Amino acid sequence: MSCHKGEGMVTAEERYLFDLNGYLVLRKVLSPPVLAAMNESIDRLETLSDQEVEALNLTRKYQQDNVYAQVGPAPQLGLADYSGNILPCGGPFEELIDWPATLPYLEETIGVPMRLDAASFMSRHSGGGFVFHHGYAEMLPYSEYVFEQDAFRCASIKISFALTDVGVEDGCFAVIPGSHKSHFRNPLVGQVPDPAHPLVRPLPCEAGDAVLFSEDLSHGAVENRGSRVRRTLFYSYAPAFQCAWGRLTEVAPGFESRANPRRLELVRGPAPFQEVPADLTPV
Amino acid sequence: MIPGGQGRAGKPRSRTGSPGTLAGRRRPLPKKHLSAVDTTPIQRLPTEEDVFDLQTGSDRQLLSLDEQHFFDIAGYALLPEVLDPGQIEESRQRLESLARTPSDGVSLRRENDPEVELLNIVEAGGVLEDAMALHPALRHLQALIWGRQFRLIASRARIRGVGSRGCLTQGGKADPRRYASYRCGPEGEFRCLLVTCLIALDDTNAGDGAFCLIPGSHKSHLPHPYADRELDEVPPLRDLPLTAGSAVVFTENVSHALRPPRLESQSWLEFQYGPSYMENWPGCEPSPDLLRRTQADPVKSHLLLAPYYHPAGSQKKMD
Repeated sequence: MSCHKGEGMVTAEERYLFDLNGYLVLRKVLSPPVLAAMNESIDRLETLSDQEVEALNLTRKYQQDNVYAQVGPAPQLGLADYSGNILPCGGPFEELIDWPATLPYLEETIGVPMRLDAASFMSRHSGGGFVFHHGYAEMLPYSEYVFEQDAFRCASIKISFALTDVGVEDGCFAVIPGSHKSHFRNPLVGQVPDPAHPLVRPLPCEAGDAVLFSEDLSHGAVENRGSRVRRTLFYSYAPAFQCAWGRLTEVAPGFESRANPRRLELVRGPAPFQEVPADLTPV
Repeated sequence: MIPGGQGRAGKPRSRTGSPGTLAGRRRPLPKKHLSAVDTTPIQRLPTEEDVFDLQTGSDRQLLSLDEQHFFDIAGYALLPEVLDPGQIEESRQRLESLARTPSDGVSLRRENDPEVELLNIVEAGGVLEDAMALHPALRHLQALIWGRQFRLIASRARIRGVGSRGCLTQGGKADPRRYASYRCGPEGEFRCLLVTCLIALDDTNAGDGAFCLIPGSHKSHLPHPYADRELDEVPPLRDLPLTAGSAVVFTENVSHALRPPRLESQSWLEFQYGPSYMENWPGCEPSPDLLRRTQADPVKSHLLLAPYYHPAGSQKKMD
């Protein structure tokens, strides 16, 4: 599958902006054919019952945790807002694990060796939002943002891929730029992001765009006031010594035989405690 | 349960001043300015800890301020007499037996003759299993790693003979081992990754097999320049003589080494702990038998939980 964003090195400006803000918006990393294949696959899944989905080794978790906020009325028809694992669907979802347009950014911001620790899909209708969570001062060890010795050494990098156009009215992702380095607790924690707040930056995306961010960045999603469903994939990566998030790295049958070595290593995890070779450690 | 880890304190800590307000952050103003400022108390906003329950027990500091300060500056803490003479003798005998005939689940490696390393010693049971959950060590681990969310990553024994080599680890920011990193927040919130509890089974001293380290090197920004030197030629290296049965707890990010024994072989027990989401050291995966026999022990079973990010039922704090 092709991708529009060119492969290659992370630019000096992108390094600067990632350190400055804690995120990067990558435009057009998924091509229209890839998007179509993914959306068709999800359309098919959404015709199935919860039990039928479970039989495919997929989970469908309706949003009930305290990061999710039902701000407006829930939809009357169709599925409620939900999230779940996605890799057992295989195909393009599997290819995204080592996507050439995003992999260089992961290698740059985490360093090697690293692993995929979660991949999930989220569907959100009108009325839903996600409250602000995380930030450097929280001292959450598995999300730590680190830049030292002229290198990024982040403990958790997530990529959200937009499968649908999502404007501010559609409940787009929102962040507090710079909060990955703030030494003060986030006063907006637990609140649905207000796009008008001077610290809050909503990040509208077109289908095929991606937002790559440090998990230490305070983030959430503004309320979806529109009529469009927001569909998002989240792929999460971490150093190899960190474990996977529950079932979120379970793959489809036959993965081992068809995956390329890099993809296989990202899912199975490289040796967890190998030292970074000296020539990769700027000292 | 882990000592002191029965649950969260009811109120979050404030950085300064009285709990529940931010008023303590404000500097007193000269009297003549008082009429010009708004003296309405600042409304306290909810913090991450109020809203979520992601770091269980991390708001309960078990170490005194002196202990916290010492560890942050030096990178280690001494724990005297964690094993009694009977436990020391039993440990020695079990290690001798394992070195002759390793039991199921314990692997033997001769690192560089005459040193023997036994990996995953908790599988051998008895005092080698009990020593993973010594109260003085647990008290530090809960303070140093991530509240109640820590687990056993590796267990080893080292039988060091005369002539065993001593190798100084890098430590500090230049240490390539990301899993060894050290972090401490402004209020003494330690977030160490790998922390080691090293227990001496023989008396060690400066001239004979002592554990040694470079105090403060866990915060060094530069690589140490001693890679090619003998330990005797490293000026900042400090010996920590230990009597048999005593232990040292240290961040793996502090530069450290074991000096060679001069007269007789010396034995050590080494237990390494990390945050709950850290994988097992290869070769240290707990066997079904170990899990079965420790399941009634809340401390051991907690330490042997499979890696996890959050305990079941967390993240449900906010209505």
